[in-house]
Amino acid sequence: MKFKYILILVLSLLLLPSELLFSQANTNFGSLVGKITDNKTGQPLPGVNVVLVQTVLGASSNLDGNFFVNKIPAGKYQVKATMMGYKAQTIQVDIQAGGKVTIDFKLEETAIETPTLIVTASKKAQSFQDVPNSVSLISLKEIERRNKTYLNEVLEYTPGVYIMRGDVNIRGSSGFSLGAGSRVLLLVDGIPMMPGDSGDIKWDIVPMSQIERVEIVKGAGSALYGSQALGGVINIITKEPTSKPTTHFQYSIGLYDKPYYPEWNWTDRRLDFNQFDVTHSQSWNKLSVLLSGGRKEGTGYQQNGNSNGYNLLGKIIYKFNSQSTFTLQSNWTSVDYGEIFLWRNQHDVYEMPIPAIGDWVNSNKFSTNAVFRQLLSSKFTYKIRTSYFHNDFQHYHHDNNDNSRAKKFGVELQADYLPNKVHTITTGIEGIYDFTRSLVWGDHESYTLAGYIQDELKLLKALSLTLGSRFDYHHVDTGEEDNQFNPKVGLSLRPNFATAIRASVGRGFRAPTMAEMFTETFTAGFRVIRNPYLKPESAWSYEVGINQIISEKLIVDLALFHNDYKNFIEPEPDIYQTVQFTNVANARIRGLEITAQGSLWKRLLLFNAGYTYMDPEDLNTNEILAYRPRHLVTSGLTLSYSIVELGIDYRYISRLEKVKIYPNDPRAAQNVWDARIAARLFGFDLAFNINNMFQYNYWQIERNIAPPRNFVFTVNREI
Amino acid sequence: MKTAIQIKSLFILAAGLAFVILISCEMDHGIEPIRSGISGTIHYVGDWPQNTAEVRIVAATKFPPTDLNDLIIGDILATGGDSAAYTFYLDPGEYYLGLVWRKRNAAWGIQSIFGIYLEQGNPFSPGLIAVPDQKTIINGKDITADFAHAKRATTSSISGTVKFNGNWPQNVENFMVIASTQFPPQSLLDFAFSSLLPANVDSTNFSISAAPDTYRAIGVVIKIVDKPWALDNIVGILLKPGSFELQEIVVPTDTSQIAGVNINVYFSGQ
Repeated sequence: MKFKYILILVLSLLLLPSELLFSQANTNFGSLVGKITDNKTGQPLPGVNVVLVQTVLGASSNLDGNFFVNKIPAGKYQVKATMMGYKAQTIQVDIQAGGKVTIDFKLEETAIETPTLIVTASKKAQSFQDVPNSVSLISLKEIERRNKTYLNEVLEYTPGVYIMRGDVNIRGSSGFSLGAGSRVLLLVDGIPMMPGDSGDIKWDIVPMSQIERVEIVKGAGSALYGSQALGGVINIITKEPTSKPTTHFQYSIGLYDKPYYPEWNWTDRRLDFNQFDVTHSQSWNKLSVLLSGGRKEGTGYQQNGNSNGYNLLGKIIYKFNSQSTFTLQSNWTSVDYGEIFLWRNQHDVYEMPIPAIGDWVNSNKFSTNAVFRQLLSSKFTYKIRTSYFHNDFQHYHHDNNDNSRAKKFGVELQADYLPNKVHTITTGIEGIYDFTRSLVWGDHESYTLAGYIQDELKLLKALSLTLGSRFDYHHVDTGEEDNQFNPKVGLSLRPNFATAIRASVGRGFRAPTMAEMFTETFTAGFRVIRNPYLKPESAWSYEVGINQIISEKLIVDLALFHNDYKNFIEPEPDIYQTVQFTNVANARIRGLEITAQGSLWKRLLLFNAGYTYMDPEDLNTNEILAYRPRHLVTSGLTLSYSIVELGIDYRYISRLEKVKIYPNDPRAAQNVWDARIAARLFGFDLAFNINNMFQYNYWQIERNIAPPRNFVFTVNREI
Repeated sequence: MKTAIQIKSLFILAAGLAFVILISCEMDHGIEPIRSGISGTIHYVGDWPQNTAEVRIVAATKFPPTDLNDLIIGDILATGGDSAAYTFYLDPGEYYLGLVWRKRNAAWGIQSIFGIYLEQGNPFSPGLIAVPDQKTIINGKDITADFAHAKRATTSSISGTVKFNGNWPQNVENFMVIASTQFPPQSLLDFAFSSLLPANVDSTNFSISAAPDTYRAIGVVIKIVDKPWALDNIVGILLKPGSFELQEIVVPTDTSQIAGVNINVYFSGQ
């Protein structure tokens, strides 16, 4: 009941006219306009972030490179323009009451595509070098280079990140949970987007064509984000509607090669996949709209691998005035796909066990969220967001007809306040309500109420201290309840322009999902039984790191990390192949991560490399944790010349030393090479990728063969 | 300037191509198919139970396997019919083969074995099959699986102590305790087994994972070095106190733990 009152209150606030909330007199304000261009080509630069330093005021440049900031209290300001791949530029302005100041930025391209602003680590924009945690960023350019169907396939190229059949691991956090819970929180534009029942990540909720960039914050993030941000946070930033009417078409077609070993060749059919996306965006005065639709279908590379799905996405932004913005975003995805659980045997790895042939799943997801932002002054801004996530599935399996229908409601009020030059305060309250009706885990409800506060203190010009904490109250209808207090401390020091030193300590937690607590099912010979007495798991994360610009052409980042986990929730199979999620262990994962990126010969050649060493230990048994490799390597080379870009990527994941389901099965490291070529011809962006080009055969979890060599051709056209 | 960039580009391309060719020549290809194994026909006896969820072929490198971790779990087989051909792909080695049955909505365990590959002409001796190399499929290894023995997994058990009196015979490799639901037993599938226990001890505890049933005979059987398991090597039987009658043990439920079953073995020479 309490939750309903909070919901009504927040919705009422959302419906208030912004003029009522914005009560300051207009006479003391001025405005700022300008244009941002590339200093060499003179081309306008869209998407550049313009901020008035030490305020919450700012804007982004539109397709013409123009920006506009209104309602600026009279005074002197530093205006900073930042964009990935360009040097930041700062201009001082003097805003007069009632006046309009015009400034133009001419940004200089950098030799390396370095990240600039990060919005995930502190729930607000901050300079990459000021973030006290390790952060990786996947740019739009990189997403286009990879040319993949789902984001998890792109994340595999990020240092310290690996995927176990859809379960994402950041520095070994997750292991493999059978899709019933994730220790990594997924956000879409800062809004949690995890289903309330299984609590795992649904990678198809945002089409790849709508992703602007992805931020990955490593280490516990519960001090701001609460449950599930135990190992890290992935934030998908989606594209904004354009100011000019724009229609974008994307078509991809892919073809799977024959298996490397003739014994594994299981069909004479052509195995392929294709996808088509069309997006239109347009703006009218105060209203901007983006609509997108797409279809994906494919045969898969395994027996039962067929899939057929559709998605629709809509984004509406309404600017009441320069201080108040309302954003509504909805996304619907529906897919039918063949279920693939285990291969038939190691002689027929692409084929399913005979009884499982024809098993399939219907899965639907719908999310909608509304965000209202308002600047109340140059020092104070707030936003209210509501979110709804619907997830349902129906199994049509030979051994079960499991289904589930889950709804997740979320509401959050967040405020950012800059009382003076030292403090930047971010605070908020959040409520989450989960509801599920399911044959697998029964009918259950739960809710979470939380409050958080963070202060970023600028102690010296080069030294920032971040103090934050969040309190969560979690209640499940079975009577289980839990209080969690998650503090964090972060330090960032910039002794000079080229060096950024960071250190952080934080606590994270994860409440068990309904799937982990209540699942009762049989699938593929395994029985899964409930454990309603599961306790939340928690972790303390420690990290120190240094980001060093060696030269204009080389940046190196080194991080040492140490995570202590308590009451780790893991799926534990017994000798009867019965699986139950239990609080198995206290665990420790420590290690180091080193990344480098650079360029040679005036950006003719770009390179990047990352190495992560992990020591994941079960402290009860002193054995290595299951499903955690010790070594991860990612690297890539890109050669750009004129309209053509050639690239090669390599990733290595060392052999898993311990697995749980079939420990007697042979295991191999992952050694995967990909190649790519992209060109722009006659207004078309063309890309051709060869994935797993040397036909390396491996699995991420037992008895699930990874894709063989495949070829993907994509054409993009914007009108 | 433009020419210099072109030369650099060509140089990088050539170096990259050379690197890729070098890598592709040197690279292994990860997991390989298993090409060797055992094939034959499974003959089902009795009607398929309505509540059958699945039937799998399994292999063990030791006999008896005492839990699922001792088994190499093979293919899920098609259900229905009187017989089915199978090919079980296994690395070179020596294996005992069996069939396990799983009831719908129930787990399966070591009690669920309802068919074992037997030595020719000996219904009490499991057959050991050697797969000699990575290319050979051993053919003609037929298995009879009797649905009368299809049981669900349980946690019930019989446990106790075996006390040995007298001197152990020469060349005993190990021993186990067996419990039969039939007397006299008709086949190996009538038995539930303890794990293998070490020889040359004065006494030892045992535990048999036993599905609910009435066990009409419980005995101790030794294994002679280089000889197969044989009922001829039963050296002790559970008897009623002060009697030469067999002592029956009833396991009433899925979770019954029948303890205190003590067997005396008297070796000749006492």
